[in-house]
Parts: sequence; C-alpha cells; structure tokens
Amino acid sequence: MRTAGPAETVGLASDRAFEEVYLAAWPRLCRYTWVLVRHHEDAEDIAAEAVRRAYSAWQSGRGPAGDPMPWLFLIARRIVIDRSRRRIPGWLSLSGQGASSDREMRAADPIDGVEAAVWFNQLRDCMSSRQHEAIVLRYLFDLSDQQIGRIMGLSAAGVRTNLSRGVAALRKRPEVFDR
Amino acid sequence: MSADNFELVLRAAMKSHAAELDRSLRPAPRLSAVLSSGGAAGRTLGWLSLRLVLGLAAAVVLAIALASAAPPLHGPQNQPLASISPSTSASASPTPSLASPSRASPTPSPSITFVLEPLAI
Repeated sequence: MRTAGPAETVGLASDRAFEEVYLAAWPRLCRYTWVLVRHHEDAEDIAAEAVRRAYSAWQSGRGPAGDPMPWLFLIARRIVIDRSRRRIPGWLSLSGQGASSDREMRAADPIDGVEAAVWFNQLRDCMSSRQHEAIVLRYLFDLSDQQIGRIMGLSAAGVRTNLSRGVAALRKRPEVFDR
Repeated sequence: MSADNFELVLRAAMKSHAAELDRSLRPAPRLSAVLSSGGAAGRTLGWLSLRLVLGLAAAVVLAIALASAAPPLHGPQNQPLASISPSTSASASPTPSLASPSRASPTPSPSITFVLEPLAI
C-alpha cells in the first residue's frame, strides 16, 4: 500500500486548512458580496470565484498573514470591480448576458422580497455606496479601520470619514430602525 | 440617543437583519464543487468572443486601408508611357533596357582588324 510522501502530506494538510477557512468564511463572504452587488445569485457566483482565486493563492504560498476574512473580502471586491468594468450593453454581448439581462435577473431575485434585504437596501439608500460599505464592514463584520481601509483602498482617516458621514446620514433617518 | 448608544443599536440591527438574510441563503456548497465550477469563465466568454471578433475585423480594415494608402516603392507607376518624349526616353529611362540591340544582338560586334601589307620599296 502506497503512503503519502512528506510533500503530499503537507498539501493535504494545507487543503484541509483551506477547507476549514472556506466553511467558516462562506456565509460572511456571500453576505459581503451581496451587499456589494445586491443580487443573490451574482453574490454567490462572485463568492465562488473569490474562493477559487483564494485557493490558487493559498496553494502557491500567498495566503493571508492573519485573519483570512479581510483577505477574502479584498479578493471578492476586486472581482466585483473587474466585472463592473467589463459589463457591456446587452445588444453588444454575443452571449446575451449584458446589462439588460442583468436588470431582468435583478427583478427576479427572490431575496429582494426578504425583509432583511429590504432593510439593507433602505440603509443603502440613505448614504453613498462607499459609506454603506464602510458601515457594513465595521458594524456587521467588526473590522478595524486599517482592515477596512485595506479592503476599500482608503486610509484609516478616510475610513473614519466615511463611517462618520454614514452614521450622520442614518441619524437623520431614525425610521430605518423602526422596522 | 447618545453616539455610543446609536452605534450599538446600529450594530445590533445590522447583525439581526444579516442573520435573517442568512436563513434565506443556501448552505455552503462542497469546496470541490466550488473549485471545479467555472461560472465566471462562461459569463466572460461572450465578451471575450466579441472582443476577438471586433479585433479581427479592425485588423482586416486596417490592413486594407494601409494597402490602399501606401505610396509606391519605385516612384509613380501609373504615369502613361506615351508621355515620355522620344528624345529623352533613352537617357531618362530609369532602368536600362536589356533588350537594346547592342546587347541583345546575337552577332558579334564588328572588330577592327589591322592588316599588315608588305611595303613596296
């Protein structure tokens, strides 16, 4: 019977470690990507792509130095930015998956009917998307200014500015918290 | 509501709504299924193929435009031959004619021969 060599053992242990990270991170990763794109299926698709990229980086020794969540969020955020830059009008897309079909898909998203999704959408309507993202990363995922800044490409002071402006905008809309 | 209290309320509201949202989401798929799926590749295929087609079309149009607009390499070639005057045609011809009689004649050119005759003294 063939036994695994030292390199294979290390690889299996690395895979197991990644799988643990994946299982713990998946719900939060999906939640974060949903906040970014506000569509359930797109969010899962982006989260899966982020996991694939993360696994590739993990295998080549470019894993996270500390907490893996900000690292995964950063990968997911880059995918969202890449896709929004690549988005083309439906009539130009040979596959028919352009902006118009995106709108049709958004209208059909069943998550939009969930009360929590309505609440998050209402929250976002109170402020800019950047302020909303900073607030979600702080109050939902409990990340520090530095971690948020690294994900969003901002300085710590820039993060604090976005947070304070977002909170100030929410203070003017207390009815949001009545739901 | 004080600043700290407001942030506490915001944090609690956000976490409770996120938990409700999580109940609507599917559980995490198996890692092997996630790693083997290629949804992004399928989605970007249309855009990539469009770019490929547009790039090829642009290259063809550019090649045709360059070919039609490029200047001739050896001076004007569309000048009618009849415009060259007969008096200057021999000297102004840019290329020597290989079909000139002196070169193309199969007969040898006449040579000068010296005939020594005995002197009558």
